[in-house]
Amino acid sequence: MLKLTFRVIIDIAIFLCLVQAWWYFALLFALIGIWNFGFYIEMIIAGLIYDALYGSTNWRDVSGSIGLIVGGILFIVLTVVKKMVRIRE
Amino acid sequence: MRRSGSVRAVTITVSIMMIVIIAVRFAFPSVFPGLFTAVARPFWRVEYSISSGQLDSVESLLAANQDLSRKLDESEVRSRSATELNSENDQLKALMGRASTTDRILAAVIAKPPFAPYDELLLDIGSDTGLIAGNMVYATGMIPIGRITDVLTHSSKVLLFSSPGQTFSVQIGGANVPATAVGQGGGQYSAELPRTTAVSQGDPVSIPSLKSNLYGIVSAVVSDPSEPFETILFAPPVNIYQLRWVLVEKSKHDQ
Repeated sequence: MLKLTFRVIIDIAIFLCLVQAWWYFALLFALIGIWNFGFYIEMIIAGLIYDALYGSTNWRDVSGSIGLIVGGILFIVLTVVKKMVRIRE
Repeated sequence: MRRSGSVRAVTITVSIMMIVIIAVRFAFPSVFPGLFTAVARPFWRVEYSISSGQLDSVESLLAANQDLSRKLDESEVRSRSATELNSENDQLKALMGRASTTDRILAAVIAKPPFAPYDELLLDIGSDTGLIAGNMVYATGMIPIGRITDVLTHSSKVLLFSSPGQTFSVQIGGANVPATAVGQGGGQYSAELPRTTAVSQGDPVSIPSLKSNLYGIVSAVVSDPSEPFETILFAPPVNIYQLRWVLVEKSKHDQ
C-alpha cells in the first residue's frame, strides 16, 4: 500500500512537471519511478503527454514524437539494467 | 533464461504500445493533444491566475487600487503643472517681445533655409509689432544674422547676411584685420586677406559698427603660395538651419 502511494505521488509529480514543461524534473521523477517500481509504464505515458502538449501534431515530424521515443527506449534499457544488476525482483 | 524471457516480453509489450500510439497519432493527429491539453488547461489557468494576481487577497487588491489612484492623482497634478508652465512661458514670450517693453522683439522663425528660398527667414511678426525694413535680426547670443527686408502685417522676411553676394565690412582675428565679407549662402561667408596677415582657424569675426558683436568664427583658411591673397571662410557660431527664435532690434525712432 505504501509503495502504491509512493507511486501515485511520483506520477502526480511527473504530471505537474509536464504541465509546467519542466521535462528535466519529469525525467528525474520517471527515472526514480522506473528504478523503484516494476513495469513503470507511466514513463512512456509521460513521453506521450509531453509530445501531446508541446510537440508537433505533424506525424512526419520526429520532434513531435521525441518524448514517446525517449520514454520507450529508457523504459526498455532501464528494465534490462534492473534485471542485470538485481539478484531477484 | 527466465530473465531474458521477461525482458523480451517487456520489450515486445512496449514496442506494441508505441506502435499503437504512433498509429493513433497518424490516424488522428489531434486526439492526444486535444485530450491532454484539456486535462492540463485547468492547471495552466490556475497558474495564470496566480501569476496575474487574480487570486490575491481583497486587501492586496484594495492596496493596489489605492496605489494606482494615487499615481493617477500625481499624474494629474503634473499635467496641471505642465499646463501652468506653458501658460507662463507664453506670458513671458509676450512680455519679452510683443509687449514692446524692450528694444528687441522675440520672433518665431516660421520658415528658414533650406525650406525658405534665397537664404531668407520668415518671422511670425510684422508691422503690427512696429517692425520696419532694415531692422537688425539677432540669433541666440546676440549674433547678428540679417536684416528685415519685407514687412507684412503679421509676418516679415529677413535677408541673411550670408545670402550669396551680400557684402559687409568685418574685422577678423585678434588683430581686428579689416576685410569685406561676402555671403556664400547657407550661413557661410568668405573674405580675402593678404597672406601676410596672421589669421587662423577659430579666430573671431566681428562687425565694428555693431557694438563689436561676435559675427562668426573662422572655419578655414585657404591659402595658395602662388597667390598674394588667402581666402578666409567663416560661419556664425549658430546654425541657421536650427533657428527657432530670433530677436529683432527695433529702430530707436520706433519706440
